[in-house]
Formats: sequence, C-alpha cells, structure tokens
Amino acid sequence: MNKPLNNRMQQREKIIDQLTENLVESTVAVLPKECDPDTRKKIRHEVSDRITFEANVALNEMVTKYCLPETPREEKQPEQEERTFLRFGKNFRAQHMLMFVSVIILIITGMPLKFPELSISKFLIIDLMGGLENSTLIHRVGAVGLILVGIWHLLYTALTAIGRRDFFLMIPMPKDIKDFWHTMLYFFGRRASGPKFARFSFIEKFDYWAVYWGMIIMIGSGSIMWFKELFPKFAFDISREAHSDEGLLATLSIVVWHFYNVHFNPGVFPMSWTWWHGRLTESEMKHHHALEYAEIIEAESKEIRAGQNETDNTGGES
Amino acid sequence: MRQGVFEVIVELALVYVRNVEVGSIMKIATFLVLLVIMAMPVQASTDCLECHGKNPPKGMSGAGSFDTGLFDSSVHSGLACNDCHNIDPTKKHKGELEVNCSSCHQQEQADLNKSPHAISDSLSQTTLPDCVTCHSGHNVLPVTDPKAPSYHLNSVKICVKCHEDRTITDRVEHMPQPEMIISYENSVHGRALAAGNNDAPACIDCHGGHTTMPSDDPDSPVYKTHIAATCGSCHEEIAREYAGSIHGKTLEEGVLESPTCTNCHGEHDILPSADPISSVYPLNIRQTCSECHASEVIVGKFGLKADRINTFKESFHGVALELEETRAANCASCHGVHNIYPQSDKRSLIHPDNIGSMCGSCHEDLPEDFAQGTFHKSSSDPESGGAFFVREFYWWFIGLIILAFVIYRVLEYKRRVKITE
Repeated sequence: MNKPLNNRMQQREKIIDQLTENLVESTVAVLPKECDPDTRKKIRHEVSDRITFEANVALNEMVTKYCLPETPREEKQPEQEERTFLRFGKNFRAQHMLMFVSVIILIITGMPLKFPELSISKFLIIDLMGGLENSTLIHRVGAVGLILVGIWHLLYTALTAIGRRDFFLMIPMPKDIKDFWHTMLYFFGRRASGPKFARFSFIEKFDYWAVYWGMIIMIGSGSIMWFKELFPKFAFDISREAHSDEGLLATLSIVVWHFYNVHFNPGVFPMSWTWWHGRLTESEMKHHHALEYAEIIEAESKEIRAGQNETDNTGGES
Repeated sequence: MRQGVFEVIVELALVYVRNVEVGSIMKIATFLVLLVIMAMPVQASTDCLECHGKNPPKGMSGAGSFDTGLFDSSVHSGLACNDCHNIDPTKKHKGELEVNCSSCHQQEQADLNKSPHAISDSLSQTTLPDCVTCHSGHNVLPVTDPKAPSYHLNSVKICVKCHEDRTITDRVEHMPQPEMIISYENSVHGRALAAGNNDAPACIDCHGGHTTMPSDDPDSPVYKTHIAATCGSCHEEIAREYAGSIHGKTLEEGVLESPTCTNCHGEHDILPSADPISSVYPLNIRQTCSECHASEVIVGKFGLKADRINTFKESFHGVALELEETRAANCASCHGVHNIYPQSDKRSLIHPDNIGSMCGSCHEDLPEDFAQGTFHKSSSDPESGGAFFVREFYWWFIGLIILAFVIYRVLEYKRRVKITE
C-alpha cells in the first residue's frame, strides 16, 4: 500500500511544479513594463501560490473519486462470509409463500367491496379483473389457497417433529409478559438493553396467534357466506360484517405491523430475504434470539467436546 | 287550370236541369244561368291569374307569380282565390293579405286560440306561428299525405324550426331551452321516428296539435296528472299497471309529488332501460329512486323511511351495483317497476307471501325462509342484532390494535435514535 502512495505524492508534486513554472512564465508577457521588480516578484509569488492551491484541490478530488472506492469493497467481503443459521425449513417457507399469495389475492379482491366508492376499488374490480363476477371467483380461489394453508399447517404441526417442537415453543408463557414489561422499561430508558428472546419472542407469538384467530374468523365467516343456502339470513348478516371487519383488521395489521418488520424497518429495508432462504446471520441471531443462539452454541460445543472425547477414547484404545 | 272543376260544374248543372220540371227552353236557360253562377268564383281565379300568373302584364311585376302546379296538387285545389283571400279584384290591393282559415276550419282555429302559439304576447304577431307556418300556404296537403310538412313523420321538423332556434328561445319568456328539444331527437322516440316508424310519437302526440299547452296548464296532456294517460295511449298495459301502483294511486289522490312516467324515465330524453345513460338503466335506478326516497323534503313530508337508499348502498347488492355489476338487484328488482305496492299489499313483490319467490327469481338455490331475515338494516343500527355488536367490537378492536402497533413502533424508533446518538 505504501509504495504506490509515495509514488503518487511525488508525481503530484512534479505536476504542480511544472504547471506553476509554465503559467508564471506565460504571465511575464502580460505584466506592464513599468512594473518595478519588487511588484513583479510579488505577483509571481501570488500566482504560484494560487496554482498550487487549485492543483491540490483538483488532484484531491480525483484521488477521492477514483482511488478510494476500492478500499470499502475489500472491507465488505468478510461480512458476506458471516455464519448463518437456518431458522425456517423448506416446508415452513412453502407454507408462508402459499399463504401470502392467497392473502394478497384475497385482499385485492376483497377490500374493494368494503370501499366500493373509491376509485382504486373500481380500478381493481372493474378494470383489472373485469367485473365483480371475475373478482368473486378469484376471491374463492384465494380462499381455497388459504384453507389449504390452514390444513397444511395443522398437519405440519401434528406430524413433523419440528412442527411439534415449534408449536410448544409458541405457547405463551409468563416469561412473555415479563419480556413485554422489560421491553417497555427499555423503551423508556429504564433498562440498558432489551430482553433476551428464545426461539420465539412475545411479538412473534402474538403475530402467530393473531393469524390463527384471523384464519378461524375469515374461513368460518367466509364459508357461511359461500354456502349461504345452508344458514339462516342472520348468520349471513353477522358473517358479512365480521368478514369485512376482520379483513380490514388483517390488512391493516399486515401493512402497519408485518410490512414494517420485514420491509420498512431501517435494518432490513427494502426486504428481509429470510422468507426465501430461511436463514438468519450470526449477528441477527445474537441480537434477536440470544437465548436460542446460546443454546445452539452450547449444543455445538457439547458435540465438539463429545467428538473430541470420542477421538481421545479411540486414540487411547489404539 | 279549371278543367276538372268545369266538368264537375257542368255535371252538377246537368243533374239539376234534368230534374227540373220545366220546358226545354227554360231548361237551357236555367242550365246557362247555373253554369254562370257556379263558375263565377272559378272565373274570378282565372281573372286573378291575369295579373298573378306566370306572365304578369307590364307594370304589375310586383304582383308575384302564383304557382298553379302546386295549388292544383293541394287539397284546396277546388277552391277559388277569394274563398281564402277576401279581395275585391276590381280595387287596387297590395301587401300581406289576411287569410282567414277559420271560415271553414272553425274548430281548429278555436283550439289554436287556446294555445300559447296564439295567446303569447311576447312576440310580434308576424313571428307567431299561424296555420301557414305548419301547413304551408297554397300547396297545403292533408296531414295523411306523406309529402305534407304536417304529416306525422315530418311534423317534428316544423316544431324544431322555432324551438331549436336560440335567437327565438332567448327572446321569448317561458319558452323551453333548445337542449331539451334536441334531447328528444336522441331519445328512443326520436330515433324511432327518424328511422321511419310512424307509430313512434312526434311532438304533437304528447303535446297535442292545435291545442299545444304548457305543462303547468291543468288542461295540458303533459300536465302531471295527465301524463300517464298520454303515455298510456301507446303504452296501455304499463299505464294500467302504473295506475294501480302506490305511485299512480297517490298521484290520483292529488299528491303532485308522487312520480308519474316522466319522473323516472325522463321527458324528451327517454332512453331504453338497456342504455347505460338511461335513468332506468340498472346501475342508475338507485339514483333515480333516491331523487325522492333520499330527499329530505319528500321523505319528511310523507313520513317515508329515510334510510332506504343508504342501507341499500351498504348491502352486497348495493356494493355490486357500485362496482358496475348490472345483474345485481336494484330497487326495482325487489320492489317492482310499474307495479310497486306497499309491503302490506298482497300484490307487492315484498309481501311476506311473495318475498321468498321474489328472492328466488335470482337465487334459485336459496331456501324460502332465507327471506324471513331483516332487510334494509345497517349494521350501525342496534336493531340489526348480531351484526351491530360485531361491528362495535371490531371498531374498538381495530382502533386499539392499530394504535398499539403505532405506539410500539414510535417508542422503538425513539429508543433506537437515542442509542445511535
């Protein structure tokens, strides 16, 4: 690093000297003849100073523009190599994808019916989907998608080991209330740091159970309206109100809460890619799931120790 | 010119002479006298033509040339000049000559005298329409003649000549605006007539011919209480149905606010219900009914239910119409079109006995008792039962949850800023 830098400095001084010389020589002709030598000297001096200054500024700019970006790029490399942890398996990610595709379909075909007078509603239903007949059909396609996610998730919870483990970890515990209180104290500056979370923080538990509740209400009321001939009209009326209001609540929650978490949060903007690769970096694990991270590290070190013991044992035997 | 007329005169004189029981010399004398008497007016016409013919004598160029061809083909071809123009040909006469049609057409003149065309005093007498304006002068033809300007298919052109002329309508008080008249030409009636359908109504069919009167005149055929009968002269079945409906009955009882045909269908601009800009197009019916049923004045005066339009807008049918689904039920789908009756009336489509089959006309799969539920009930109304409580719950729930989300985010953000500082 040092050698080329020195070379550059020398080159720069050389160029400045040359420029000063040329320009000062050329000014001689311009100066009036009656100038006394002292004034001439003074002028020469000032011109030389000025050129040196300007040249320095220009060269500095060039150096910052063309030479500096190389260094940060080199520094970024190690970040990408940070260790990552798998948080969501393929099965779970697929559930989430089917879910958000269904929910987006349901929102753009459903919300316009709550606000039919808005021009965006008219655009979505009339221009984009070609009328209510199409949009209600698309809504039912989304509904089938959501129902499938519901069934899939129940099976996943019941039949897979990870599903069962995560379900039990999702159950609200007294620690969640303590964590919430801790977070409030932290927000108001009464604690130096936030609470340490295990695999699921109280916020994630809230999100999960909110979706559970929403699914039950939306699928239940939607089915009553879909098969209205099987129910009395008051059931239809209540379902319509509940479906419409719960739909609004879900939409607002997704936009205000979930989109902030995974899109607009300054730390992840424009988007967290966890939904795609299912991974968290080591620093994210340390920050958001400190207890889980500690468990994993401890388990690993135990394994390593066990492995060492094994090799020691085998080594001893042989 | 008088060829045919002379033959008739000779014939008539011969018939008379044959039946007179006198001597042959007397018969000839009588015949000649009759001939002279009867031909006198005709003779006069030929005399008139001496000056008013094709080749007027010197110094009479101002007399104007009389087109004998047009007059011969007119319905008045048997009349002489002086039958209409009361002129002494021996005296000097000039200028506009007063023509008095009423000497023969008394009834028509009496009818015309009642109409604003005759009694309007805002116009000078010369621009007011008279017989000639509509029926033309010497070449007058019977209204049954397709070539006549007053023939049914052509008659509209006569009316619009003045009524679409802004220089006239601006000058005359109480005269309707030209736009209103022009809109007739785009209406279902105007288009049918222009296409040559002689059954389609022209101006005179609704407004009357000679008796044309303004719509606020109780004798006018387009006065509010007479409109249904006027329209009913063609739309018989509908007029009968309407007369029995709550709207027809109430109007008959003298409630002038009650709608008649034109209140829903428009006046000159009547369009078929399939036309998207028609006031009775499925998507526009709600607006048309709301003119009265959401009007505070009407609703308050007659004690109607004020929330009918708003509660409909909230219903799925209302939402679907708002999103331009024409198949969705509008007001008329459930309440009827011309046959609207109060719910207590057995004939009403929404009478408890009929409501099930009425809903079933669209919703074949719905059970009959589905219709026993409440209708026109907003969920913001406590009487709507469960839906009201669901709505109240969500109103608070959504408000609190979203508020909590925002507060949490603000606190989190503030704390983050503090740490980075």
